[in-house]
Amino acid sequence: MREVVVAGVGMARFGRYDDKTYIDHGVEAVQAALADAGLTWPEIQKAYCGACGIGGFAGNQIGQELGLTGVAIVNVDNASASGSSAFRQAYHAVAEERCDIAMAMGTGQIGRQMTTPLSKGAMMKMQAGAQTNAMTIFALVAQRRMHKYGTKPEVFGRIAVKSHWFGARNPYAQFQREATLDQIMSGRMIADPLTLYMCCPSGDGGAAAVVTTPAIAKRLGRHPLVRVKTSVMKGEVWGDGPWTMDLLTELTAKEAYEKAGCGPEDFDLLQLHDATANEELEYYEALGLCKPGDADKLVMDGEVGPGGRIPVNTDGGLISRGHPLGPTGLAQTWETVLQLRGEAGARQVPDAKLAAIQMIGAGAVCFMTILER
Amino acid sequence: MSPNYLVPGWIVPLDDGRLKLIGQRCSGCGTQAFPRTTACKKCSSTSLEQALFGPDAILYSVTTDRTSTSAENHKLVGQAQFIDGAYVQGYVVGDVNHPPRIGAPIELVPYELRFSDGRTGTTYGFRVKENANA
Repeated sequence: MREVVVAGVGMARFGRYDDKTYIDHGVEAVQAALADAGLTWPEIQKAYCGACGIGGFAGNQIGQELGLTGVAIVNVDNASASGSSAFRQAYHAVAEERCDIAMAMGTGQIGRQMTTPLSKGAMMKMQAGAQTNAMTIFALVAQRRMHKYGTKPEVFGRIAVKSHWFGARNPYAQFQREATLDQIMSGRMIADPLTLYMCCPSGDGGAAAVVTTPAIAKRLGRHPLVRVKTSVMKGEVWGDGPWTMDLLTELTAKEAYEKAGCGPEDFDLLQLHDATANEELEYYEALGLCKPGDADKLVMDGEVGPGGRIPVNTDGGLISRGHPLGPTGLAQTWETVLQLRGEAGARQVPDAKLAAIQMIGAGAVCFMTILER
Repeated sequence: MSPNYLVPGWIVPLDDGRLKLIGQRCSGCGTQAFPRTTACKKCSSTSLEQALFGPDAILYSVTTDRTSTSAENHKLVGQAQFIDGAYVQGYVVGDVNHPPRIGAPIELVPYELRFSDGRTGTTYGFRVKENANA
């Protein structure tokens, strides 16, 4: 496969909107990515749209606003990883020489997430089996960790402090305010021990990325080249225990590290799926930042925060930047590209050259993307 | 009057008031699971036997679901680990502000759910066994 670079990225700020639809968010993000790349919509040769629960053709509706150029738009729904899926599809389209310039877009709108209607029987089974609330599942993971390793809720709180610090410096984040540990720990309890500030919000927004060949990107001459070193996707595997997203992440990361020829010790920063603060903690270990059981120390020593050895979720993560599902994986890409270009402003990780992005989609699926300047 | 089981195909009531759950065991690899699936999640074999879980288990994890802003709707939710390895999520009987300890021996019992429209129905729940150090 040939080399692929990210030529442009764009965002429509995550938040809650009464006056904008998922189409508006997608259009805004795509136009921002095109402007960033120095390209126009008619130059896009293939397009992929990640959206969750919105319906079958969100990408086409966005395309209709931008011009009927005949570009083939594929819509993909992989829950939280919908945008990541779109990015991987676009990357492969260029890498496999099926086109030279591809767009990955993602969009989401509150009230239309995960709304695929379930049958009455399926809904009843979810309720009868106490499976109606995603935050409860993460709380159960947190409780198990506290039992197994003695992790204190304060560790989860400090992760949330860190993420809100980054989010406060991201003009496209849903929440742009720092939060103290006291505020986070005393917030409304959602599912013990997870308080409101430790959980990701629901909301709307859009994100997009344009990928192309290095030659085309150099001709455009807009930015330092950010290369896709690898993109890996794995589906759910059987594991011991009721929650196996850590195992899925570990296996996906292993493959990504082997293909890219680098590992967690090489990364300057990392983005990962933090539906809750404790979920992030589990992935420090699954991604190999430390040994099992040692993740608490990374947090308490400041290693994953600003100025730390490997800052994590430098745009605020799902908790602070937000999580409209469809575009989230592309928001991770947007942030990582800005960091590698040196354009991340007040949240910039100094001299960032190599970064990894992990994303999980319910169902489940895991993506790992490694980007390099 | 027999309980109004929300999912009758899941439950076997016992004479002592406790329950067993109807799950599956894979004839190919021995993996047990609940609820049942079309094929074994571990090896994809479709050679599945019915397996009954419970009533005894160990509480693997527990939390209080406080998503509702109304405290009367808060519920204990837990995960049980059965003797042959299956993990099952369900409601836990007890005080939402004093959940049982992880590792406590538990048993399957009927659990009544009340819906927002006033309907009720019975599912399974986990209760700490008497004389256990909860």
